[in-house]
Amino acid sequence: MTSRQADVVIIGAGSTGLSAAYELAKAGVDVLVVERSFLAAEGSGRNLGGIRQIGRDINEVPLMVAAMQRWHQLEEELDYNIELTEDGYLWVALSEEELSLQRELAKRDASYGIKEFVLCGNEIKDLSPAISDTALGALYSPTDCIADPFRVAKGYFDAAQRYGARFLFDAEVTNLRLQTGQIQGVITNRGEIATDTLIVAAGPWSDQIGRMAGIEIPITPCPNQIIVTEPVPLILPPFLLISSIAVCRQSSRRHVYIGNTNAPGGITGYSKKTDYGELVRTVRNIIKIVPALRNLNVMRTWAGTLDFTPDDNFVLSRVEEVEGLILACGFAGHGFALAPIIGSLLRELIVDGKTSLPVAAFQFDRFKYGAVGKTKHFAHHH
Amino acid sequence: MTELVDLVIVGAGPAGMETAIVAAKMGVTVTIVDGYLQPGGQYYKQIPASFHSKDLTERHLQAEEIFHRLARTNVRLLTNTTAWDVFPDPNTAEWIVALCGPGAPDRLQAKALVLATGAYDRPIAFPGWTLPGVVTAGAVQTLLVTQRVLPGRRFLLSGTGPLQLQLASQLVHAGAEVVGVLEGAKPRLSYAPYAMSMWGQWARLREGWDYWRTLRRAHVPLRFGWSVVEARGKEEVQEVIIAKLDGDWQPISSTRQAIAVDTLAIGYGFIPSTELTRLLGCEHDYFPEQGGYVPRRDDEMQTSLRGVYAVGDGAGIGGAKLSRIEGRIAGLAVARQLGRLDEKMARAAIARQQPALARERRFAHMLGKLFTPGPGLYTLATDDTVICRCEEVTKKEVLGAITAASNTVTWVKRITRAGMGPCQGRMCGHLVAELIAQQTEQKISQISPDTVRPPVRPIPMGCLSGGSK
Repeated sequence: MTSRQADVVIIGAGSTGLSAAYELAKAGVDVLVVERSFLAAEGSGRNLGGIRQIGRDINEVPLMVAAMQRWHQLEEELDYNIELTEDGYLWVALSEEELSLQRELAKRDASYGIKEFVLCGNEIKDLSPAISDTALGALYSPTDCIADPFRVAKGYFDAAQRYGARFLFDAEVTNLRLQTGQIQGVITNRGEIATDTLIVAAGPWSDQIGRMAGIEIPITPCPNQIIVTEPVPLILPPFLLISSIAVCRQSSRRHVYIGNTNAPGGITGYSKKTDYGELVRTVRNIIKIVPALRNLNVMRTWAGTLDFTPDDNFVLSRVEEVEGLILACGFAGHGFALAPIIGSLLRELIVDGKTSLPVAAFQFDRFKYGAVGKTKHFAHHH
Repeated sequence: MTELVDLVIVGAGPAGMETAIVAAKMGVTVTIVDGYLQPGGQYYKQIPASFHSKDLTERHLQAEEIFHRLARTNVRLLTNTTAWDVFPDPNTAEWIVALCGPGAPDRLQAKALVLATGAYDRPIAFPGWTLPGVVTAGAVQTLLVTQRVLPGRRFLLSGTGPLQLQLASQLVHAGAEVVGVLEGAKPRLSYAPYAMSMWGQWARLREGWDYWRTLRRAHVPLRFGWSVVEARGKEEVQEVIIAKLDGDWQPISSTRQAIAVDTLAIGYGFIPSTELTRLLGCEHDYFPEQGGYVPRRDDEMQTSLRGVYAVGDGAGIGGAKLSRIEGRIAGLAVARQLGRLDEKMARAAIARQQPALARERRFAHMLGKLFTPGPGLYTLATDDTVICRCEEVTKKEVLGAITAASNTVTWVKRITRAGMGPCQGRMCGHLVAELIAQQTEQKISQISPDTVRPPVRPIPMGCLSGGSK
């Protein structure tokens, strides 16, 4: 293959890379996406399609509010049916502490314009009769959404191509070309691409790309387990979230999807096949909350790798040591819901040199000084 | 609880039972797992005990004999049990089989695995194939032979292979009206070299002759080089359109004819059940005459993974006789692997199976070459023909998801949901692959099949909560 060149190269055709490719191409930037497999082949195609504002770390809230506005326009913008529906999220509280936390967060999020309601036992049953009495209460966010991850990927891909973005599939990055601390190009098994700007959106494999540039991105790969059942009559209208245990939703076609919330401390690795022990643990836990699931037939299971950083927050920043290198990784399962805004922020970073929303908490620098505290993601994982 | 055993066999059909008998005789502790209530598989499928019916066919006598031999061993039989996941034990070189069934342990840990998973009907999609009254030949035979139910009155059989003649003959004996048997293949001069593989197959020739005679007496027409191309009806099949096929099995439209029937039995051969070998990551090759993707095996039925063997139709369509020979060889190989049979004796015993193995393989190869549907049959579906029945995905939707950038069944599934339903792609997986091949002008063997994930068959979620007691 003859060598080619692009103003911006993106590694990874997942939600983040696709959204960035679309945004940049639309802004007239010459962009090329390098992907070792195909669209949404990893976490972006292995998640449940949840788009929640509920239970987020304070630094993510303004981004998520902006992302939610984008989600509602996305179908029209991409001219593609992404099957976006406003199912709402129901975060079940299993302890008094969790309940009082939910009350605080409802107040906090109200100041950002997010509608959240604290529900008691009966109100939960009215909303989702399948939930057992183990739930002491719940936080309900009726404006949270879901969308089909593959259709989102396809929509972004088609739209990005219409604006001139190029894609190189089945192309694995083998090395980077660097000169005096400046990105010069990307070397793949399908040829070399000259560029001075590189976005790393390779999810749990981003640290490998980082090493090619001489930097250490601290990422732990955690395989999350997903279980899908046969279709059954509607038993779970909103997207159910049980902190540190599982997430669960019923799709428009009535299949029930269950995802466990594996995080550092649990099993690690990149396996795409589910782990027997993890499946058993997840099913035992979720059956306590939704007993009716016990009798449903499981049709398929799979695993998707989440990319955790030491403080659970993602990285969205330039790298001081390497000019032209931009990181967008470590999303740990938050990448899909945030994708529309992350793409915009990456475009702003490259085209305008600054972002319209605060991203200080997501700087790569923060790992340099060792002691990184845990941020406060209240729901979804530990 | 995990129970330790020497050998786990998945599938209690001819291949699995034969493996069990041979291995058990050598002192191997064997557990067979089978999804049905009774052993026998499809070929030796038993009539429910409550029927009190005497079956004196040759096949039944063979079945009696093998059940009797199995009963004299100490093989443990776990029926009504699904082996839904298989994976290597991380701490040993052994294999874990996850089970779901009444009274079955959650997991078995085995030093060797024999996968004798059999095959399933290969459907062809054509307009109207989802109408009630369109049934696979295998299903009609099961209803007829083991349940004593005639699913219709006026039958047309369309497909390929000798099973059609057998089924037509059984239907005639059961009192059904068979308006015709359409065989897609037609006799050609180029088939002459295969004639020699009939040498020694006297029982089969005799069986074939009997079917032929039954059909002649009942005035059932047999047409070579014809196929159904459409089924029509309001609530169920009322008439079918048939047509003559060209060399690529493409229907010739000027020959279309309508025939009134209430049941259409379609039998376009079988697809090997390779879910477990694919789940384990065994190497596979594509052989159209063996039914599609089959696990690569050595002379002793071992797959590319040590200690994992594959036998019978699940490792390539070959019929019950070949399955039993393969089972015998695998049983001997496992006994040797576990040190229950010395090298020299094992080699001699396996060598003794070779002439019969070669003869049956030649015969299976001949059948495969003669009776594999040609590419033209995969063009029968029109835009609004449903390809994935579980998720109701049409041909138009499948074609819309095929892009130049990706030619995998997995991508089509992800975008259209074809193959995401309860049959897990068994009905539509090969149809989607054929459509991709046509659309992208590639060979079918270049299209990678969908990834297999556990459970290989749907299981109640409760089964997943019982582990690690």
